[in-house]
Amino acid sequence: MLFAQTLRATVEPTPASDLVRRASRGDVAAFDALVAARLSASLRLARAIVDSPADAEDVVQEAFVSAWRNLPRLREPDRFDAWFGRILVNTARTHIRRRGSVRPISIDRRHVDDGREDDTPGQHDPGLESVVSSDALSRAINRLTTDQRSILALHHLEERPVAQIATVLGIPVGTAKWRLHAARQALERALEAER
Amino acid sequence: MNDGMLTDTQITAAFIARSEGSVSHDLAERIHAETSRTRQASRLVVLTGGLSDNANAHRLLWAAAISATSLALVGGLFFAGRQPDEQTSVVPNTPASPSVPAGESPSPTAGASEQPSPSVEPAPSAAPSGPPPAVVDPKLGVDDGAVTLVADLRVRSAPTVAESSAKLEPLLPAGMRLLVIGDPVEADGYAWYHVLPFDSAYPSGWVAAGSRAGESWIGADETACPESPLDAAELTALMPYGGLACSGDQEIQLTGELSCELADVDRSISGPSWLRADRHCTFDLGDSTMEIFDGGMAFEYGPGRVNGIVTGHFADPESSTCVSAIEDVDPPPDADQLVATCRTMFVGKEWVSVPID
Repeated sequence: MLFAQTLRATVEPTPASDLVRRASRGDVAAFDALVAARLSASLRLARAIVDSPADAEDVVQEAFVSAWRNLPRLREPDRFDAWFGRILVNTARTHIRRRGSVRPISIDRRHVDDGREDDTPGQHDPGLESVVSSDALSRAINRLTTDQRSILALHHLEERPVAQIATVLGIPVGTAKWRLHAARQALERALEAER
Repeated sequence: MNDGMLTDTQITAAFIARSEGSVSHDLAERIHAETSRTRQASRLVVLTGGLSDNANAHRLLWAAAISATSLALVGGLFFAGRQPDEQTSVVPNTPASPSVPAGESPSPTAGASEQPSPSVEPAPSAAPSGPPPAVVDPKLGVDDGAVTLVADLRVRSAPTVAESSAKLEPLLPAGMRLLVIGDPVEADGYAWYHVLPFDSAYPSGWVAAGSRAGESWIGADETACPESPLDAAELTALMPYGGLACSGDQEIQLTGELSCELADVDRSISGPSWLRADRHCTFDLGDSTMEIFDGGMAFEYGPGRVNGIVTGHFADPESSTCVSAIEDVDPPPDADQLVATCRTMFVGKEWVSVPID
């Protein structure tokens, strides 16, 4: 019995909420464990939002340090992941704003790159899907605003449901749905502009 | 989701391609090193005023310490005006009022319980017959600054000398700056003002504006007010309530460094849309910080301070919606003090970054 308890204590990971509680009391080792479990995913999300891998690492580091500093103010340890997700997204936004590394480009459908007015009522070219190149799509993503990239990354990369996205972004669920839809439309317009 | 030419699969693939790559081998170590030398923020337990600085630290810690065992005391501290360092006995030391006829020595009990000032003496009911005395009234209004003109001025829990009005301690010294939080009330031959002392070691409550003999006990605060925009030094000089006393509800600008981060703040007051528990903005005052409440500043939340100009105001109209966030407080919070506390909070409406050269 004792052996079984000892074994279970050895092999079962410490619940995240316990780690959060310990970390909020200044336990660096506990925070290291929280970081280790989230580092890869955090870096993926940061890369999806900012431009360069180096910037993404800076963002992740900054976000974790911010989380460490503010952990004592987190009342509910179970909310750590949503709370940290918001810190990460906001850190990325701040980073981009400070670096000026992203220049939001108008992707209004009527103002494509060459300046021509495009009021064609047909929304989509049925033959386009087959010729969408990954490069064009990548460039189209670069044309999005930080907020648009963030919400698309949360949905398509992290596969978070809309309710979770709303929590991470600190907005109502209905607003999250609308923003997700708008970001998707913006991406389609950006892709057209990239053709 | 597939309402256009793009499929979910394509978008997902594009984001995966964009985000792929290995983690630098030393990233975890860098984060560890940075966190090891980064101090954690103190837990924000109660935040009733505009300040979250060191000056309020004792008050906050005290409130935190007792909150688990006595919410009533928390209510008493913040809403009835009692202080954590409250003294248990005070010996009146001011001379008797000149209006007291010689030989009329009221019983100590009666005198002590019936006077707004510790300078003691006659109860209103024991006053000689004749025309009613003129009431000293400096005609101060809500959000005005006032100052005590005499030493050892008594603060009471209600605008009356009746025993139902508790005598609060310690007594206010001469020169204490006060914020007027309500219209004056005339009772027992005195004009009473509901005030918040600038020094949180003293109780908030009601003070009489002057004796029945015509001596003024409080007057208008003549401290000069700086012109907007205010920098950190000017703002510090106004703390904690001078900003409201000087500018009222007028739009003013603060220049300096602002930091806004996501937080999880236990607040003792709720109501206004800008009094949110999930975010925390501080304006750097050098040795301390002032909390600024986000009323639509469009500030990019994140770590670090940003230099710039915040435009906003004290005395936001939503202050009138402030209520206690602490349930079952006995005695119940003083509604006027709750609203007044919210009026002292600076609500930022606009933020403009100004890079430092």
